[in-house]
Amino acid sequence: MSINILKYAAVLLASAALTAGCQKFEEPEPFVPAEMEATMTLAEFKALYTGSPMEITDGSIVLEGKVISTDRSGNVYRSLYIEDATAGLEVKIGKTGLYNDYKEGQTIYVKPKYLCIGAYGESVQLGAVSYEERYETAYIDAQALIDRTVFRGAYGEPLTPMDISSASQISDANLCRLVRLRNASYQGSEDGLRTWAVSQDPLTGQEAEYGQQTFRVDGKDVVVRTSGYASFADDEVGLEIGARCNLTGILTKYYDTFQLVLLDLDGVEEL
Amino acid sequence: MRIKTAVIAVLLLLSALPALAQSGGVKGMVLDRSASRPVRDAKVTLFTDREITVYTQEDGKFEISGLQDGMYRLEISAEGYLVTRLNVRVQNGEVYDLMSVSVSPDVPMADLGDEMFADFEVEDESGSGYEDVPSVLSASRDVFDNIAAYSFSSMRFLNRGYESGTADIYINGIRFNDALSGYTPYSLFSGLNEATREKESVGGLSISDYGVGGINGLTNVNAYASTVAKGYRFSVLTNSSTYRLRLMATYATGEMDNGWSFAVSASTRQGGNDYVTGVFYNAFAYFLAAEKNINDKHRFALTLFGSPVQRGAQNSSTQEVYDMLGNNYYNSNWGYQNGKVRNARVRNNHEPVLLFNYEYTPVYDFKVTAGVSWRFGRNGYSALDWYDAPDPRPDYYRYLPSYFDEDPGKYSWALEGWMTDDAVRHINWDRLYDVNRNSYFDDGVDYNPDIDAANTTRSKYILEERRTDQNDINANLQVTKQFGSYLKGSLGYNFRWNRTEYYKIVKDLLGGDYWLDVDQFAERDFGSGDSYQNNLLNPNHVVKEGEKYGYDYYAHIRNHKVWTAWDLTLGGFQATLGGEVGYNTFWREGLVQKGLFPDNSLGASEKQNFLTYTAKLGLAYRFSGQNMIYANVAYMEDAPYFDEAFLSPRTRNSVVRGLTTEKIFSADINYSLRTGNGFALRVTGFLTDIKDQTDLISFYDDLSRAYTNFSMTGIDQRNIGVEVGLKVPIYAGLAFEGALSYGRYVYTSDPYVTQTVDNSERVVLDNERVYWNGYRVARTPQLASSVGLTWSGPNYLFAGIDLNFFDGMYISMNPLRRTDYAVQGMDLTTEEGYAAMRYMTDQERFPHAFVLNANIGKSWRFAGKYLLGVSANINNILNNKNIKTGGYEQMRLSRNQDDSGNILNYTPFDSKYFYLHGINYMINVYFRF
Repeated sequence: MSINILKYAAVLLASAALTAGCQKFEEPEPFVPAEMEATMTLAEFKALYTGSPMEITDGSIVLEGKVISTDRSGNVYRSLYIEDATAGLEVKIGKTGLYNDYKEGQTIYVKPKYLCIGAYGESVQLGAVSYEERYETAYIDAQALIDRTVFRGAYGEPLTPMDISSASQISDANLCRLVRLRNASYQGSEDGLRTWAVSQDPLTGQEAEYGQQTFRVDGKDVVVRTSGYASFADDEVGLEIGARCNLTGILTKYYDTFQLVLLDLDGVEEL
Repeated sequence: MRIKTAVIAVLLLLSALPALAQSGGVKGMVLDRSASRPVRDAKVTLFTDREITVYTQEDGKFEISGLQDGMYRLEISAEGYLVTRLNVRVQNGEVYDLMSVSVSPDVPMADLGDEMFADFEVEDESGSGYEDVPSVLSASRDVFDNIAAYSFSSMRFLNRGYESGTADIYINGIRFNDALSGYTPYSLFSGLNEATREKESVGGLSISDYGVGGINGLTNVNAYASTVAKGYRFSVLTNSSTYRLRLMATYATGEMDNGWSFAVSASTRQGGNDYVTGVFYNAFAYFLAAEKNINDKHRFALTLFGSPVQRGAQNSSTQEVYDMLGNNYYNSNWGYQNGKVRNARVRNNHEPVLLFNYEYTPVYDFKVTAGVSWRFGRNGYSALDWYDAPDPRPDYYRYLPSYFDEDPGKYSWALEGWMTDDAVRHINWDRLYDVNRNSYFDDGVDYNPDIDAANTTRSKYILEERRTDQNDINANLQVTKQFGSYLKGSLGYNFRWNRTEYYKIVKDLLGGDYWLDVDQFAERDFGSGDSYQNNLLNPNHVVKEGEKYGYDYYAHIRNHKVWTAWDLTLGGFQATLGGEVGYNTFWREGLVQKGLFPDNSLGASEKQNFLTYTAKLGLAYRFSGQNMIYANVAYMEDAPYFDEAFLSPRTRNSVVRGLTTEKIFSADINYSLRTGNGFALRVTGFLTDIKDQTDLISFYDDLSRAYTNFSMTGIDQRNIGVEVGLKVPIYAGLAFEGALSYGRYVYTSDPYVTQTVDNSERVVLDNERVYWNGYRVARTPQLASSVGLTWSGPNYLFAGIDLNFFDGMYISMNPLRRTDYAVQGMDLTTEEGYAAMRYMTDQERFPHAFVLNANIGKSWRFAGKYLLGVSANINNILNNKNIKTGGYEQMRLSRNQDDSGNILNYTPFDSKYFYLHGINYMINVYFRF
């Protein structure tokens, strides 16, 4: 009798040992890209802004564009830039690590109802309705709002940057587009900074200061503005004054100053 | 000369004492403990060099006579009752009257369940963390402990306010408290209730037969083949608060004619509970024991047991989250994956224990025992890990409505997400897989040219499993000698060898192809060179599932301990004296070379050596058999534990500054009375001072944007209080039971905290004073009380009901909030500034609570040998779901700055809480023969 019981116990034990460790989950189905029909080009949409912020109430508007930015190096921060054939648009998705979810070249659809079109430094942006008077738009950072307004479409090849070699192309029409400034000459920085930015000021201990390095294209100045949080912030610019290069990044502006935001240092090509 | 004569005279007198008495004996009455009714036909066996067996009469009485003076072992067994063993002392040739000996019905009353093992996440990520464990392991003969075990555990009551690790747990005479943290090792034998039912315990400061012990009692689990109840035992248990189902089967031979005993037990626990989603048990347990008795002189025992357990853990959240969802049992650890609930935090343990024991009893009053144990196996706990991607935990503070407090639009969007979307309020597994599957980056090439960047994906989110795998070997030797009837002495030696490996592995790549083993915080801060390598010996390691990454180190521990205990009885007076001296050594041995600390991470740290000791004295006076007053006093110095001794054990060998022994003084005074009719009373007053405690808390600090460690030293506390236990028989099996524990457990010093960053030598806070003096010790109700009625009717029917009241429960404090650092910038001359300071520094006290429980049971005997029984408990009958059983202040502070970035002041984050489950049941059906 006791031998039998021991046998049963041994069987129970063996099966216990075998089944312990079995907590398996099927992998989720692959992501299904959204597909929508755009009702408006980005240029048409940006034209809706007439100098003061406007909440979009029309639920039928659908925008479409391809992702041109990445925040992987930390230079773009809490924003996603998309572009179609007509224009580029900054969508202020207020999260970090956006490059994990939005890939360069991926199609993005935006239903801007509940969002707000406004401007910062005279550059038009799409953001959330702002409750702070000093800003026309706020970050779109509540997940439910992102989920209802920004839709991830199919992956695709990254866009080829638009070549800019004449001063006239450095214009509002090309704001927020991925551009390559051709044959730009290095002018240095006003404060004598030799790196792209400053991750931590050795004197004050202050973290992450922006750096501004000026380049001239066809006689027009563009400031390469770099965040102190960028992974390449402390890298030397490494160019002699007057040295020529091609610069790839996103064209932005702050009032009268046109600026270029580098996505990474691959965007600097010395000639 | 005169002194010498006197000594000889005394010695002669003492040696003559046994000769005076040849006709001593022992008598008493055996009573049913629940019903206070006499038990007839109970078998009473007295062990001398032979066995003397008598049976009780109808009135439960028995008497054994013709005994010489001396100490005897008495065993009482009766059908349907647990075996009771006790020592009796015959002296001066008198018949010793035991008065009453109560025996417990052998039915699983409220089986001390696994709900006490429920464990909760705390922010503290250091090895220790804390796992909730029952404060009172077993119902003992003590009237207070018995009630506290069943009625106070659900409120996480801690005996006398002591950390659970202060209670010593022995198995077969070998101490099993965790070598690294001191924690009580219940999880080693969870699910083996039947096989480990036989326990001997002493409370408080008392000295046990197995060791001098500490301040919180000593329990020895007798896990021998011969101590497991003879026969077959099966049980099926279901409950709504822990797991759905428990099956248990046990068989023991008892001691057979050939001297052998065998016992086996196996169990499984499966499923979740009614209250918390995501928690589950997938647990098994086994127990195998063999024992050989040769001529009652030699006993050899071999025991193997283990508990392979997978268990999903619960996380605590802020009241905001609970209120939003209308559910105080929300658990942020899980999310849906293909419609199934998947928990990210799963314990996966299997730590078998192998024991060998030998007992040599050449004569009845002399005994030598020796034992060796080995604990090994795995202890894993999974968690999400991520690299340069948003925090995947749903209740991360930036995802909550309160984060958008100043923006009503966003607030309502955040709220809507929480109210409507499972992908917001739970872990969004689909997204984690999606991110990983599309995570093609050529940077892998920069790190490691072997990576085919175009075709492999670098996981940004993974499940890691943190491992604490022990090899724990204990050896002990003990000699016990009885000198006549008045003196007993024990001498023992223990040695402990422990090597524990701390490391983590990739448990699941969640759809990606590899994980890159670099330190992302160091990479962000230092960016280049080797500094962000987790292991310079294997840089840019491409990690696959099951492989180690991150950190890897050994804890080495060597302890030697010598102890002795003496017990002197003269008439009604008894004195016990115990002493212990130990030598503890521990050190860290890094197995990887961290890029940030190339010279201080690999290889052995300096050895930390501590001399420890304990001295105890107990005095008792017995007015009559069970009517006594006794007092104990102890002083001890204990070594700090490995888990608290290193500043940042995951990365380097640096030791906490000023590491020193913990000093404990404790005293208690007790009065205890039991009468023949079942009346029982114990009243205790106690006072304990603990000085120079250390603590290590590891967590991610938003302000430093890094993993940081709080190391606190110089923590003093004082625990003072009273305990009362009372049982009064009323009429015909009905009895009143009551228990009270009322204490005041406060910090009595202002300790110092040093905050260091895991990935640099930077010191965030250097020896900052923490103003803790006068604040309360958390984690237990400081007032716990119970009144109840028990009834034990005819035909094995019993029932009980108890109402409990708890108060004086406080939140676990973040030391940072009581520093000058935290209150800087607050203008205390203004009402607003003063209020902000109070908000920062006041300690939350939880509301008092009433909890009502009831139980009922019945068993049937048939065909002479079969016993079928059923018992049921209903707990928290008032269904109060707003009872906080614990909580802690988050470690981070939020920094308030003005528009130009100047720091104005700091505000604390919301605290996190645990709640008692609402009404819940447990039903147990058992069958024995």
